[in-house]
Amino acid sequence: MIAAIGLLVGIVLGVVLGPTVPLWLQPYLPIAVVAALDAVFGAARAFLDGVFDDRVFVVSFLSNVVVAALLVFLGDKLGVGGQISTGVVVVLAMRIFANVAAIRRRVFRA
Amino acid sequence: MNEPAGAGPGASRREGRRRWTQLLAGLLAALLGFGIVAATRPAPDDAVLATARESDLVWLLDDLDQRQQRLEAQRQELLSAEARLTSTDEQERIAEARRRADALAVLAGTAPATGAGILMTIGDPERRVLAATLLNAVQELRDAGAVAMSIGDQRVVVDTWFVDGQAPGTVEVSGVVVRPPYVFRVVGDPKTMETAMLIPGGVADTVRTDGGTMTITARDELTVSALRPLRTPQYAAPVRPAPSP
Repeated sequence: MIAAIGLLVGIVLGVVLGPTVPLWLQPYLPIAVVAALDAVFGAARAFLDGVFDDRVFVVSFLSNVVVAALLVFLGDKLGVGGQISTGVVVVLAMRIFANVAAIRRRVFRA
Repeated sequence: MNEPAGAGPGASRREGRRRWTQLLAGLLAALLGFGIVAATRPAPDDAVLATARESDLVWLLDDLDQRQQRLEAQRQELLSAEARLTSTDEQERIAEARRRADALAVLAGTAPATGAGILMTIGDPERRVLAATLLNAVQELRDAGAVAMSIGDQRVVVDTWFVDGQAPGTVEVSGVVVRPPYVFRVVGDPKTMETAMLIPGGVADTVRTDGGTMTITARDELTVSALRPLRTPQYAAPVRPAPSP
């Protein structure tokens, strides 16, 4: 509940403040957002399964974001930044789809 | 584990930690929302360059190199033209200037143009042909090498504009209402222009989907007689070169 309100507040703040992303963050922000989305969908699934735990959410959110950003950072240093970004996004997108499928089965029983 | 809430210090501590993590979860979610908005906002142009990957930058650089080569070639051409103009005698200089003025007059639409070309008629019985279609036709014709053209009695030049007219099925060409059938008189290579018009998915197809008709006749001799008044530029004045001794 608090998380949902937080999401709304964040979006509203973003729209109102209109932030410009600092340069050093620009390659990582999109990946971090996708990683965070993965955590959020995982949390939604856990919530529907009745096993949602704030602590788990916080930890998975942070670790997801940090690991994704780290991978991209490392990839950039190794000269394979583009490929690794693609890889990370593909894996996260697959997880998101899997979570959405679980949520869908739960909600619509189909 | 199964202590009732508030039964001891352990429970209240756990309760406190729960509230804390809940708040943190909310904060992270807010961060995510903020991040989504920030990431989806378009970045300013220079930031795009600063964060572009190496391969993209190389590609951009190649592009610039090619453009520079093209411009350099153009510069050489102009320089040699200048040398020719300044070295030859008065008579030839005047002739060259006149040739140039004639070419520019055709381009600017201040002189009638004649030559091989096509006569193209776009009929619009269902009044559904839009200004965009005519503009598309003009651009395709230019790409196909049209030198001079007119729509109805409007000469089409570089700053001609098109907008859908107030009444359906009419188009304003540079502020003058033109009614269908739209008659294009175009000087240029007839074969190329006809092909360009009939290309699949091109102008002819668009007109047909809009319920219009289109006929193209190639002519060996055709005159674009519509003129466009010469305007004195409001802000720019040509630079007169100092007379050479």
